[in-house]
Amino acid sequence: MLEFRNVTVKRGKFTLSNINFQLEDGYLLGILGKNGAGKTTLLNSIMERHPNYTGDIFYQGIDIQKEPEWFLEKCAYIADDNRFFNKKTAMENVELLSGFYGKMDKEKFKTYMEEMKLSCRKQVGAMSRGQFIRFQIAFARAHHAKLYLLDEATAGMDPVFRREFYNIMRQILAEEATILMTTHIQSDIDRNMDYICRLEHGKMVFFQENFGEEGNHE
Amino acid sequence: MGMKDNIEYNPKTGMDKVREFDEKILRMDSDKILLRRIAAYFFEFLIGIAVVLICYESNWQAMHWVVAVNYSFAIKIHIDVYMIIYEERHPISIYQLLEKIPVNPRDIFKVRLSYLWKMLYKRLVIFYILQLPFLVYHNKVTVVNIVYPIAVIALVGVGCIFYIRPRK
Repeated sequence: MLEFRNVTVKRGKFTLSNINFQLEDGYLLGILGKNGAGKTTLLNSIMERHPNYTGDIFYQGIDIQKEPEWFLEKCAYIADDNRFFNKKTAMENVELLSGFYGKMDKEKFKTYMEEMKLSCRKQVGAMSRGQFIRFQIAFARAHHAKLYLLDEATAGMDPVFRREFYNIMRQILAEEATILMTTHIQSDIDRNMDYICRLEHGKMVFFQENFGEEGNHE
Repeated sequence: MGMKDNIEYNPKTGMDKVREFDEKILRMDSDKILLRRIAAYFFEFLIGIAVVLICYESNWQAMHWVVAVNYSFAIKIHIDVYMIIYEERHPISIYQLLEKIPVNPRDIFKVRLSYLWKMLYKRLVIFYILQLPFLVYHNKVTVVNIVYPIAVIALVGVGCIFYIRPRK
């Protein structure tokens, strides 16, 4: 379970204030809001090693700031500005970074890349935005991440692959993982999110179960 | 079961992981590294000859200064051999690259510091100690000859640590 307790993040003049929520494992939370509402700030507050926030963030009951390496091993941040070795291939990146993860499975990485219709020999810097997001998902699955933070991952994806993407998200959720995802796409929200929260001007306006088109929450 | 029992620790230490990572990248980029190593040693060799000539011409008076400058350059080049390999040609990139990876930046820094000592700085200190008999032999034991090189060596050390420090 991921839990935010009275989290307030200050970033320059912007403040994301008093965020409180609990999200059980196996659910997908959609974080909505206009540009500048604080969506990326919320995700970054989870990932930052030297946090600029007050309050507490717990994952599986453990304060993430007290066990940052343990937490980062469980966590996958997926965004188009994420950093990898751009001049190396997807597989070389996995080879290089595998030592930092206790459970990196290279064979599974190959399988996931095949599922994503991507070559392991493709240079990361030469990937399109969508391919880079897919590579990161395969990387995260291969190291058995349990908490996925996706920042505008579906932006620019074609509708066919977006459907496939959500199928993959469902597979990930079935493995008791938790997903937090920022998006602007209303149809994605209606069809795919289990919970939704809306941010406006740095405040959480609501956090609720999603009773959208298909009502994914069981 | 307590909260702490949920934490599955990787038995390798953070520094082990960083070393393993470095070994892999050195293996992967071995051709590029080899070229840089050859360049570094060639550069040192050339400056070494210049040092001997200048020291000889100045009746060994300029020895410490020239040696210190020589080794400052050599240290910089050697650090680059280990730092430039991380693509973005600056040590800052390694910290940015691993920002969201489960490794403590302090472990990266400690490993870099151990390289600095083992490969470069130790040589500088040994070289300084080896020069002392020459100073005695040439009757050049003065405060300037003893203290100034230490100050230069210390300054180089501080500069190197500043260069490899963890940054965002």
